[in-house]
Amino acid sequence: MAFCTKVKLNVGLQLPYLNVCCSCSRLFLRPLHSRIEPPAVKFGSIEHRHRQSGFNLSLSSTQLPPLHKIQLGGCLNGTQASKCVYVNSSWRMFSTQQDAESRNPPKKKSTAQSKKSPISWKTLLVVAGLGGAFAIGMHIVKKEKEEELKKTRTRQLGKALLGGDWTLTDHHGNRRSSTDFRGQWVLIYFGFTNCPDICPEEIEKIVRVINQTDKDEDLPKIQPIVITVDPERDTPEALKEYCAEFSPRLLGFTGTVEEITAATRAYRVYFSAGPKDEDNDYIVDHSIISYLVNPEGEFVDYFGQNKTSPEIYNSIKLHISTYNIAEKRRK
Amino acid sequence: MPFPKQEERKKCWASKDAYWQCLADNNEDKAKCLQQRTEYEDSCIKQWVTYFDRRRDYLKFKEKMEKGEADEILEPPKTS
Repeated sequence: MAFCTKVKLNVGLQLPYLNVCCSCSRLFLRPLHSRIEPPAVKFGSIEHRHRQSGFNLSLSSTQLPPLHKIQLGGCLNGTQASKCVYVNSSWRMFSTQQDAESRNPPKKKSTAQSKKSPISWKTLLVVAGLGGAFAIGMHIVKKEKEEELKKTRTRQLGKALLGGDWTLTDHHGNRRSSTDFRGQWVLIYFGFTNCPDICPEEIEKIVRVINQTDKDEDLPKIQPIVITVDPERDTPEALKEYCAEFSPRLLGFTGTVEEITAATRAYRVYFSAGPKDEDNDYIVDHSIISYLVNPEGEFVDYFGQNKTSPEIYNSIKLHISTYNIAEKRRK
Repeated sequence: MPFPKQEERKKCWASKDAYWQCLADNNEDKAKCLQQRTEYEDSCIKQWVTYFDRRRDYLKFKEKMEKGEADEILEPPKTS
């Protein structure tokens, strides 16, 4: 069905003579696509025959333009061919039912969404913001607590994991165990006799500390110990000679490779013998640390190369007094 | 080989220090410090000579690194 806006007529079924083919959008004279052969009439008579479709034109000749002028095609204003019809010597625009509908879109039914609801984007944003701030705050506090816990834990764990008992041979040739030193504070250094400069320096430092603690009336006698990291070369005799040069109080320890390995493992001491030269000499690379052990055989603290003897002395003094206070409390 | 005793150690260190001082004074010119070098090598056991030489190289390199002048990587010691 086609509606001509100009003539205000439905072009199609309603008009007696024109129709729009629904399948091919062409204008035809009624009836559509009929193959009935109308009687041939002369131009100008009432009955005209549309060449293409073979239909009869029932308009009078004055109303209808000559047959060949009925055409579908472009309107002069350039609109789509199917929307124009040549009627009464001029092209007319007609609109279809679809065009009418598209001009006035049907009113949509109002849904529940258009109603004002308490949950709007604004409130959502505010809640999200508050929630986010709260979550961040919680996270920060939690992280701080975790860090603190970790610190205390590692402090305790680190101290507990270092140390342990060992059995070695002292430089007099006696088999001794670390348990023999229960009830005494011990300062252990791992070194070797063929050490070029570091071990002598460190041992001299330890001896200075021991001399100072010996002078201190508040402090008990601390036992300085040297455990070799070169069990192959350092016999008890060698160690005896070595230690004697530093202090009569210094006690050296050696043992089998397995025993030394066990002792160094307890204190996480790194050591590695270097390559041998033509004289079969070698240097043992090792960590340069002294370890303080309390009368219960527990590791308490360590001192590196950078610590001076006064610093070590003060540190030891503090540890001993802390320990004594704890001991008094226990009793 | 018995380890160097305290006296030997001290002697070795003294000669090493003298040699290092000579090198520092003569802008690392080893030709000018041959006497100190000989004395140093006599006082210290071979292993220590090697050790101290390497230590000096390392300290010089560390100095360069700190100054930002080190543009070559310290070569590994040649095994003779």
